[in-house]
Amino acid sequence: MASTQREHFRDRLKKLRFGIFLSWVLNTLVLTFVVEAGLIISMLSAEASNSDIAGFILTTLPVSFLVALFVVWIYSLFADRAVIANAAPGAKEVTDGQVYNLVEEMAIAAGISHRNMPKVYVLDSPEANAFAISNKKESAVIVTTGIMNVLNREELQAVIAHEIGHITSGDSQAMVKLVGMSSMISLIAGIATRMFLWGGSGSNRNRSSNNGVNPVAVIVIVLSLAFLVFAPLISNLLQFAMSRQRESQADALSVAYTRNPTALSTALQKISQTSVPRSERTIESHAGQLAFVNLHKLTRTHPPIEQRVNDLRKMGASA
Amino acid sequence: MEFIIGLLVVLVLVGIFVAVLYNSLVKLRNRVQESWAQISVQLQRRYDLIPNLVETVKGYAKHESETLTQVTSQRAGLPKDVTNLSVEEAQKLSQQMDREMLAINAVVENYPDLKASQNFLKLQEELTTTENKVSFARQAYNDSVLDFNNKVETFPSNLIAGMFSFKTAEYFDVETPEAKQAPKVSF
Repeated sequence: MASTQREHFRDRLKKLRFGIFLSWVLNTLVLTFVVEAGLIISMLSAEASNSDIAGFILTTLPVSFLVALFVVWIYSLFADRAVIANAAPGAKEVTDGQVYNLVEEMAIAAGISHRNMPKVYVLDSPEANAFAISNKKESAVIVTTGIMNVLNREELQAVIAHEIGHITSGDSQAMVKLVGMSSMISLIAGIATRMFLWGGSGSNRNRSSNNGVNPVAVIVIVLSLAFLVFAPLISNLLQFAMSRQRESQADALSVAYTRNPTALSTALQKISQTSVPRSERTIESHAGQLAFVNLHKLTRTHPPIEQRVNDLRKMGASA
Repeated sequence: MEFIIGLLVVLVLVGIFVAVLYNSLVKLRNRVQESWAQISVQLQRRYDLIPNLVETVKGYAKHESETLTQVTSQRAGLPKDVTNLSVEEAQKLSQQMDREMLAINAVVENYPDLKASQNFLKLQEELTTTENKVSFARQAYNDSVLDFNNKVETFPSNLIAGMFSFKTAEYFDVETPEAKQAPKVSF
């Protein structure tokens, strides 16, 4: 790779890191409000006076913030394992065979020293996908049997180079934690909403027939509930943009490592033609932002396949 | 007094300047050496795998053993350990192995049974990956050489390089056109 090109990558990386940092801040805030909203819908009664509401929020908000920070800290300790357990349950580590060889090849191309070789996992699943995770100490590449069946050796090499690109550019570690955090936010928000719907705060509401209901309190409760429903989406918003940038960059790195844009282009096209039931696409639904492809249209974590293929053609892909 | 302080400040600054450039030169040189080590490891691996392939092919191809014996006999005069070669020697060896593979492949073409055998397929994958590793290691090595040589030759680091006799490193070139196409093992 020429030095100027490397400068260019570094520049883009800086922006990416800043974006990831922003996502962290945003996510911590979202988590704070999720906890707060959970407290409101379960503890604030509908007939609370305005000053009661203000007092409640002022006293509980710092608590929520501390809880959020604590949860983020705890979670960041085991995010990588959580992601792998959710997205690739039952993936088996391999230490020889073609996929392992390919990871070794790409680690060499990327200049990763032998003792930092990523671990290699194979997930027995029809979903044609792959993803990479890393923490401070180690990294791993996870590949499905589905993708191994669809692609030839060169194409699989290009996909693995893309995943190695995520690891070497250093964004993978933070992203893994963010993905883990988002899924936790939806988990907590889901629990809080369900608790409310199952009548967790019913005792408060029954009494409300006697005293007058404070409309402000009702609005606060309804808004909190609405926030809980949309929180997972909000926590993903910034990540989606981030994620698209990461993917373009990993594609470019893949080409830099393999010098074979055609293989990556045909790999993308082949995968986009596969059709696997959504229920079997565990990687896509649990780690969409990390996956090699995310065909799900609603969550645009990746640039559209056509755009990625076009970009690759600009880099010299002939198919 | 002021003159002495001024002189000291300048000396310290120059010292820091030299140290920073010297360190970056050493780092780049280490990277060149490390990536060269990777090439050596993979070349040795390929070097060891080819006789295995010859043995496997011999089991099937009884009639064309002449080509195969030739490959084996060429090996007779060569050392077992090829990890301490110079860049030039490594290039020569690499090209020789490319020729050997071409010869072996020509034989393999005539034996469909062999091409389908499990043992052979495994060996084929090992050879493919090793050849790829050589070429990717070469890619990484040449990148590191480019960075190092740039540092050695450009101002102001060339002054420091001259002072501590850092010499530009040699690229690992692929000269013959048949070798330039990444050695594809298409049996």
